[in-house]
Amino acid sequence: MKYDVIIGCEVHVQLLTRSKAFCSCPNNFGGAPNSRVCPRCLGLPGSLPVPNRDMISSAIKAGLALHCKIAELTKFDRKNYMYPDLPKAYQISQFDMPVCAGGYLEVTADGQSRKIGIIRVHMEEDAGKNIHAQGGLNMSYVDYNRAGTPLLEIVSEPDIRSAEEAVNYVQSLREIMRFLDVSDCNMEEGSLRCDANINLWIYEDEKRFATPIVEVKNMNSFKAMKSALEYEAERQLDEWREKHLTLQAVGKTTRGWNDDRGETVLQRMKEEAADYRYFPEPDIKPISISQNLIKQIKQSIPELPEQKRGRFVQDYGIAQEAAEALTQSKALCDYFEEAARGYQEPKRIANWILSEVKKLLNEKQMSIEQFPVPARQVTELLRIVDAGTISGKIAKDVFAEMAASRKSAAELVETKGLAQISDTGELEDVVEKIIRENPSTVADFKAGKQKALQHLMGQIMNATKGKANPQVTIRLIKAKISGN
Amino acid sequence: MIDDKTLQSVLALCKFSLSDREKEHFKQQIGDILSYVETLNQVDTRSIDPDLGKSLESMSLRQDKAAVGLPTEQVAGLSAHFQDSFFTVPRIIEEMDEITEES
Ligand SMILES: [Zn+2]
Repeated sequence: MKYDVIIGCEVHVQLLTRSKAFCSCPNNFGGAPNSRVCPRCLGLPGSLPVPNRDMISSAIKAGLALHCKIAELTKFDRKNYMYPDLPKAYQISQFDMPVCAGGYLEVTADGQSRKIGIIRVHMEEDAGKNIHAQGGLNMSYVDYNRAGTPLLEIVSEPDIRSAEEAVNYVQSLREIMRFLDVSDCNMEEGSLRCDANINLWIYEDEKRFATPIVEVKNMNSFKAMKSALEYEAERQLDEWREKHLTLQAVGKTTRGWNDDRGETVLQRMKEEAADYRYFPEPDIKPISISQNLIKQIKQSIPELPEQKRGRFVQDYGIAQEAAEALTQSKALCDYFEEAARGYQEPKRIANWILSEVKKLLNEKQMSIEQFPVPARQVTELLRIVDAGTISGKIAKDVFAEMAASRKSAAELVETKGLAQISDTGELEDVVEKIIRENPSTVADFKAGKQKALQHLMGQIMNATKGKANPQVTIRLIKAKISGN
Repeated sequence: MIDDKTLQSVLALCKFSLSDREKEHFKQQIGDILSYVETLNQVDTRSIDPDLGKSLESMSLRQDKAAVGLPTEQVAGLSAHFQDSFFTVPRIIEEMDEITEES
């Protein structure tokens, strides 16, 4: 059976402003419950919202990076619903005049890139947090620290064609938001939340059938997202085979991903809950956005991952894959560029960062921002290798030591006496001794067995604790044996 | 006068319940208010420039500066239901109930 998977994503990102969306309370993660609240975000009568300038400019910034059209006139609306974490019983959001609309995001997978349409980007305030009492207590606790903090909602077109592509889409979105410094997009901490609409287009009897759309919620990690959407596509396929239900007949339902059970579970929305009775927020005037302001914000947008990748491949001659791995974070890009500055083979710097630096970051569970070895030290270390002072193998140990001790490469090579023995006089004695002690290996070598050379090299490396300069050693072995 | 169905859906949205006598009373009142507001529709606004927006630069937006909010004692004083720095509410029955699928 031929079919397509059709996915659209709704992503919420928390903005990194200092204060909340419509009041001056601090916008931070964590903290003592209800320690960052005021009459406005608690919805006390008579308090009025005043929009945060940076929330609006962040939204425009994000919209521009997503190739959206920025609205000349935008307004806020009230979305009405009753829930304890929403103190005003409405959420200030945007309904029919969102700040940005009609853009796209380029998603790269396996070296191929595809444009995923962005329907809209709008601003809204977050709700507080409910904590349900344990041990049979008949109450819930509410913390309003998060209430009124600014969010962007980014809605994609149903252009995504697989679970994997959905993950790539959200990861690219995260990358861009981080580069823009608009949001830290941490899925585990909830500063990036994603819901997805998914259904199948099934081609049968020369006709196309759409299965009922399912909104999948509660995907709290990229791994969960991939599993949930893969599961859901399979489930819909089975359901189609069994019942032939179409979108026209069933409409849309909501299912929550249950990570422990590895399945999506049907959820029922109270019918009236969907009636949000949007109306224009009377306490905030519509906002017109000038071309001048858009121009200013445009100029503040840094080079984005997509452009960086192109430039890295072009200017540094590194592979596309390496460029993709480096552009995972802005800090990693900066680290690479600083290390590569003035160095002849940027490719080697890239490889070093992607293997040795990444390895240590994983081991120490730290981010590149916390990494103790300055980028220029990577350059220095590779220069020491280039000069033949130490081998590439020893350089790896030195690097780990640099990260642990915060000493420079030169200092460690010096104090630990790691410099290779390139002095022929010193090496000659060792080579002669090894040749003397291994007559049969020497005979093998003379008979043309390459392995014999490696064996002799190994013995010499052992005797010098790995410090013998390989090139010089090989030259000496060959000269000694043929001279015999 | 609004009809029963409309009143019923408004009550559900507000999480209100009314006695039958009150229902009749409010059907009349809400109807009167709506028709009063409807009179606004008689004004011809076609020639009026909406001039809704003010430019972002000139509008009174807030600089993104954080300030300390209410002290906890004051927050606590706002509600009779406050415990261990939390507001307390009757146990929340999830809006989204997990239901078992009919097989
Ligand atoms: Zn506040």
